[in-house]
Amino acid sequence: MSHGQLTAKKAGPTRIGSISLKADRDTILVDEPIKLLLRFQIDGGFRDNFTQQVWEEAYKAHDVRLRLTLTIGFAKKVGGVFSRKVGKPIKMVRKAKLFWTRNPERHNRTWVMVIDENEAPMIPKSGAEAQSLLLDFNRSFDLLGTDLGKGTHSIVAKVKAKWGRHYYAPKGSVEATSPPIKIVCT
Amino acid sequence: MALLQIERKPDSAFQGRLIRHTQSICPDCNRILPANVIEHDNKVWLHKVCPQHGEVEELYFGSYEMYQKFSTYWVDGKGTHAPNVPIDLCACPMNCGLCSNHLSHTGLANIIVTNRCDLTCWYCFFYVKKGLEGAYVYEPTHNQVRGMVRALKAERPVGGNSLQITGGEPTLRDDLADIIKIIHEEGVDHIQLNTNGINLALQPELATKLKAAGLSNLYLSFDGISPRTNPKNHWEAPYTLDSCRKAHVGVVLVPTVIKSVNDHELGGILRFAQKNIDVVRAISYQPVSLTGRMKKQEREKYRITIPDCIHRIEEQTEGEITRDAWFPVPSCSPITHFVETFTRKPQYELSIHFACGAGTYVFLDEDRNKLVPMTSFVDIRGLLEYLDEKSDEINSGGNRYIAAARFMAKIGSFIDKAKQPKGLNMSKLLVNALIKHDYSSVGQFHLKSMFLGMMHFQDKYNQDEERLQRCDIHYLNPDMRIIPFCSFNVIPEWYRDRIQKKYGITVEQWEKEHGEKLEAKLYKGTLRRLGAQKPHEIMGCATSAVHIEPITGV
Repeated sequence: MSHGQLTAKKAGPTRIGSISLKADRDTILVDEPIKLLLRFQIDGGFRDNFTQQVWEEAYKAHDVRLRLTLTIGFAKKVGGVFSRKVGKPIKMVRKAKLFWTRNPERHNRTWVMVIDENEAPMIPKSGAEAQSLLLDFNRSFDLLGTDLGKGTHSIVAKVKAKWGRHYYAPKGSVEATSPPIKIVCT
Repeated sequence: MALLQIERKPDSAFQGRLIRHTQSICPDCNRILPANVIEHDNKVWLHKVCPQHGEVEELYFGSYEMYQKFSTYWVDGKGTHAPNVPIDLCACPMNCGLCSNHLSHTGLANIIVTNRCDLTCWYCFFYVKKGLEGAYVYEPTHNQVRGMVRALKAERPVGGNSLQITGGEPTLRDDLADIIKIIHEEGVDHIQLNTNGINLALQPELATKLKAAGLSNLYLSFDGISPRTNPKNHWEAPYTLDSCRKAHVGVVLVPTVIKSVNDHELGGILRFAQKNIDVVRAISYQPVSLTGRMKKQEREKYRITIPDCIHRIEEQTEGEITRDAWFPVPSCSPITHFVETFTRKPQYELSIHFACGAGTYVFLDEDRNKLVPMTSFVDIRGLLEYLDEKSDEINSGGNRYIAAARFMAKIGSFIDKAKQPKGLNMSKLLVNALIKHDYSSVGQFHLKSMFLGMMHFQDKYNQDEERLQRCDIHYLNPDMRIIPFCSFNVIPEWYRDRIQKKYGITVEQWEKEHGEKLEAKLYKGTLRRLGAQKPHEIMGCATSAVHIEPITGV
């Protein structure tokens, strides 16, 4: 890898966008599980630079492996702030591997394989699909009523994404908090 | 970097799910073809259509699930920074040598010292056969050997340091010890000898002589545990092991695995190795490579792939060596990258394609007399993930000494000491192998364990150019080219045969110069006669009536 050789096209800062949290129900019993659906995407500089053109350059610099670490936690509002953690934060890793493809349909030689947090390898059909597989997040989590306790709760998801230094992005991290949702636990 | 554009688009008339597009060749005319790697029946297949010779669908990997797991370890290597064949357009399998577009430096270099052999095994493609038109005896001179080794050492970014002397049967050369000395003098640390072991069985002092010259270990052809599956050296192998034991030369057993021929003895081979674990360091199972024109039905009869072998070993060891114990060869890349980021120097790496090879380490639990795979007491995945994370940290400006210290403090957490075989200190072995990462510390690791490996060399039916481009087992040649195995042997008419013709002499000329007949060195089964009980057991390969089809393996 070529350190500090950030010649990829200039783009704005990276951010977490379109973050949303939904529950499959508004009301649960204290001994019941609840399913929370979290969606967000990593936008801005990182996404804009993660293109086939830049992969080609990164590959030449032998910068072929990316680790994107995602940490996701839930918190409930106590005393006016979302300070009380609900359950343990979950750490996940998504990876991208640049490789020389011999797909005769492609004119460029570098392509990408994305490996999701379940270690499922995927070879995208297009650059946009590669961005989506790596940087879009849509996953459900199970919480127990006992994690929340009885009462009416305001819950948020706190998300952090971080990555190391690469040809297409300086080392960085971004954080975001979802809009709150209300859950009544009886 | 660019790829030679071929006219045809990948054929879409296949049954199953597309995994990826690649390129291959027509087994009849060598034309470069678009190919699809596809899944059906939970297996992975290579599908291609030659406009002239028609469609071929060949088994590529016997388990889709294992293919998926292995593919997550795909990492392209550093490539060749000092190519012998500088070219712009990549047109594998043409122009090998290594070319500018090859993606792996040499992991193991083969040097052929003779193509004469004292056996005539029915499945072997390599030995010179008298009476065949265009048969040449190829035996490079000492100067040529030195030149070839220098070409290996001149590779960049990492000079080659691991070499296999091969043939034919290399021990037929009287000056073999001198050749080993030359290779050693040129700075190669690891020198192994690919042999059928017969001459080492007949002349026990030969092993000592070769060891003194610089030999590291034997790569002993060993196809089974019965005379039927291993007519080659069934009777001789125990004597060979004894010679090596006395000379302190480690042995790698190398079975060529052929479905319906010896695939029922993979577990038996492992037990044989276990009994001789004081001298056997590894087994390298090699699923057969099918050469020559062969009908689909015949290919199906003999074709076996890495996952099939892994499943059979699991069955035949009654679950002692499970399928989960195996990792693809490039899975060791996080270790290499960690050492590279720590030392800030390019390191020797095994960056072959994930479908080419697999391996695992096993340790002997002496109390239970069982083999214990490393995965049963080391969290390999966790360890590799952690190393990846630390490499990322250092690459992103983190302090490398702090990262290394953290690694050393953390390493114990990946090892379940309660399950670790008695007397083994895995933490210490791993720290030494990772932090020192030199030949001797890695060697110490191997002394304490037995490595089980698989290497599936390709043939014209299953040839995937993405695999070829990443090949790291290469042949050194007198014209200074360094040619990947799966070009050299898969398309011999372009590579091996031409080189041997150019640098060899005719059989007649060799016989005249040496004053003996080529067949005079054929093994007559001397040792077999000592222990044989039945008539077929006294038939050496040289006189064996077994001959089916030209199936090959190395």
